[in-house]
Amino acid sequence: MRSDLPVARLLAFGGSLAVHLLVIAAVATLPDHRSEPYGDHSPALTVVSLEPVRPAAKPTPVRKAEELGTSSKLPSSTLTKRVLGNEAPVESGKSSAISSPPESEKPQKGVVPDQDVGPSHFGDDSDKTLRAYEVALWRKIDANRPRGINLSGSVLVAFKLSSDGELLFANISQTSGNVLLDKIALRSVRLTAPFPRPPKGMPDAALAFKISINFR
Amino acid sequence: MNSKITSLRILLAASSALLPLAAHAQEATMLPPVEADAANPTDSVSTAPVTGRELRRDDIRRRQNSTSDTGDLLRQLPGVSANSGGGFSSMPVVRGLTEQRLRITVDGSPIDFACPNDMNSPLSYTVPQTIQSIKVVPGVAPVSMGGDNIGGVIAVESAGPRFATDGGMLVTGELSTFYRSNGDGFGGSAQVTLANANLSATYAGSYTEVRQYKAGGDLGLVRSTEYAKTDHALALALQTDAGLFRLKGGYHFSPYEGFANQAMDMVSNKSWFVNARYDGEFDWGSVKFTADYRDTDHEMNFLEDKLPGSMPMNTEVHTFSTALKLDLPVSSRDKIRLGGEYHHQWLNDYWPPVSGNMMMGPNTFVNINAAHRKRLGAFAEWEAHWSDRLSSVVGARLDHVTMNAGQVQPYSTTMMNMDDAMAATAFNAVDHARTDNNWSASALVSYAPTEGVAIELGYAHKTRSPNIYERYTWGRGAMSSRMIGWYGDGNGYVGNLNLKPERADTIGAAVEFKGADDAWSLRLSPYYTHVDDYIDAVFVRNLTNMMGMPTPFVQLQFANQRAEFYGVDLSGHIALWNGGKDAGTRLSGSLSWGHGQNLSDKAPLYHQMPLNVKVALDHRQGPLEAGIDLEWVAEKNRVDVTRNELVTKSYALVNLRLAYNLGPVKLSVEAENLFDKGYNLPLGGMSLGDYKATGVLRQVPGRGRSVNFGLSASF
Repeated sequence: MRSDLPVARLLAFGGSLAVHLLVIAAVATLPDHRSEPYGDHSPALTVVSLEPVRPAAKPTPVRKAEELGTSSKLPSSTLTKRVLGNEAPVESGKSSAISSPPESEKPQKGVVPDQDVGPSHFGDDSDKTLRAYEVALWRKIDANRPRGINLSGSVLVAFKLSSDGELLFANISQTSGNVLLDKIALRSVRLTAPFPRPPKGMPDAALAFKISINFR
Repeated sequence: MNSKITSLRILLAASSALLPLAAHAQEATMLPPVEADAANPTDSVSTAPVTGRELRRDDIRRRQNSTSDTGDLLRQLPGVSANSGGGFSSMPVVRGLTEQRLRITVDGSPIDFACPNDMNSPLSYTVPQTIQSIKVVPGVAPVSMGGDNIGGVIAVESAGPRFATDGGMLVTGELSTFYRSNGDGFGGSAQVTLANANLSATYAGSYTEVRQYKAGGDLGLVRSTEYAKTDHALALALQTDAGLFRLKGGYHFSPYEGFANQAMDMVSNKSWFVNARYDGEFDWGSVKFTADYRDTDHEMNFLEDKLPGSMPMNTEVHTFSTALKLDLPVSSRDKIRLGGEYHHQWLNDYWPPVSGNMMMGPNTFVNINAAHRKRLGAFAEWEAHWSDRLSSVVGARLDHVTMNAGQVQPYSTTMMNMDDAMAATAFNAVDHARTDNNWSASALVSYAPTEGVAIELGYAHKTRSPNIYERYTWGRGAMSSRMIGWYGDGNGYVGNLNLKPERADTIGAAVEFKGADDAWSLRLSPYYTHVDDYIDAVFVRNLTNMMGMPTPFVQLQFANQRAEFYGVDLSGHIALWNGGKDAGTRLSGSLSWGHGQNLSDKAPLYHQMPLNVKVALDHRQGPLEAGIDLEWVAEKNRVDVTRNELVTKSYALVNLRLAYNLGPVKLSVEAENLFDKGYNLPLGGMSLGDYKATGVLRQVPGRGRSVNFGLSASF
């Protein structure tokens, strides 16, 4: 017999909503990461495992989830995974500055290398090709960087490329507070086009990038 | 119940469906940042950063207590010296080329001087306390930096507009005050900015009042060196999606400024200005537009040291200028710069009659009658970044200058004014319209072979038309000709309608070595300039006084000759101790040597700064700042015999500085010329205030010891 108790239903609804909000919050606060370039063409999503029993050195968002105490026990954690669809593994993110050699794959905070979810879709080769492409992109943008600008500030530009390397759009993701600097940064990214052709097989969703242009 | 469950499921599904979008927005890959560093020499080749030098706010702040004279501040830079004028009107000299040959801009607008004695030089309208930066680029400056100059560009910028970045209101500013013991000088300044994210308003105001100063040693009081002035300006800025719009207006008033090396003093200078600027950035390039108008009323007569007597002299100047500059990136390597500018100067200079004086009346002496100087300039420049290490900028420019002046009139046509009367007749009988088409070109290459090394090589051909006074002054009388001239030598000058524009060819190189982490640096910059049709002066006659007795002064007329300048500037620093942020000891130094020669009479040019060496030791630890400066200047023995220039002896000066930072407040005290050394200024000229009062002619001595106090607060 189904329980019609309003309290139980309210708890279930509230708990489910809480999980949704938690997942949204976790996704929003996670650092940007490289999306999955190969394998099935499902949308690459960051999945934060809500399973309990992790070592103390676990990254923050999961710790937060544990602190809240709601996630791990709820059946909706399975619901979450199902809703989120493909159980793409969470790859180890990369830091925002490729100053260290591309081989550094150290797990970053907020992203959990989750062995439970399935084998990694990243082979070493695909990683290197992707990194090489990112380096080529950065080099071309750097070659077109604004020169001799006597203002200071930092502009975050987001842009998306087509599979031919054409620029689909570019916009300001985070303003410097100075309209002129924003426009100069945007123009320099636009003038970099045409960009190097992306490696074969890279999904369209993976061709979105962000770059910070720091003026000193 | 069922509908409730359904709607709940729909809600859950809907919110879950949003998740992929939310996550999708996060999937953009973060690339490493790109650093656009304006200090990178090859990137900034269009402003010649290795050849040029810049004084920043901090450099200015360290010295703003000891001087209200921006021209004097610039002497910190190697290769830059200052011809003395009034207390806030020194005329800068860059590598031997004097003010008339430089393009001086304040906030992008060129300012003309409006006085037969160059008393209100462009920098006299600026106040050290409110300047953000001064950039000095010598003769090889790219053509886009300005035309109508052969010696380079001095660009003074006040602080750019600041906007609030955190959504609230920004209130920031700086207040400062100072006292100088030598001359009992005091003053204050305030700068306040109120801004939100799009609109910014900045007020800057200052007041200064100083009495005559005492020279060091036993050289005594130096007469005619007192001054007072006040400057106010309000700047508004609006940043919108269409670009940055700026509007600035201001007022300057000086009730008096003594000129030790001139026959006259300034008894009133009133000037107001309006300046509008637009900066826009578009996909196809950048646009910069400026327009400004300035109105100046300048009066000369005698201040207390040059009394008795009265000889009013009035000058009115209206200046309008406008400029448009386009920066067009045409490829990742190339950028084309195009620009046009129009500058209109109108000047009226007349001396009202003096009642009861037989010579100075009954008519008004019309010195310059509604003269105008119009300049239309256009340039094209190509900037190329061949690689991260190599850049070049090449440009050409044409300036079309037209000048004219009306008829003139002497005080009278009696025997006492016969020389002037005849000169006026001759001047009025000829046509005064003149047109010059001046072309200029510049080429600069910047090469940075490795990290820490930057090389700049430049060549430029620049042209400058004579100014209104060089062409249109006409008086040949002893007294009237002595009213003309900015050389501070007491001599008389007569204009020359047939003057041709000066044409200079300059080659310059600059090499800079920098150690890692600012540990040390060394900059070496040699140069050579050859000027054809250099406007110097030739002997006309000896000047006698009213009784026919000889005087120490001569009458000269402007004439085109040939000249050359060459020299080397050296500067560098070593960080002796690095204690982390805001702590360290630094030794810095500079050396300038230059040689200026008149190739027509094969004699030295006037007022060439001799070899000078400056060394400074600065120590910063926590809130305490201390410093000691040493300046040594060699004997000036290369003198211009045409002007009866005198030799000055070598000297050394020591300054001690101490400052304490208490949060936003800074207290400073300094002892300038600590040992009260008496010396004559190499570029000071003759002390005519003292001569009139004592009958003894001497050169203008430098300032004796002064203890200066400063207090400033930032908020």
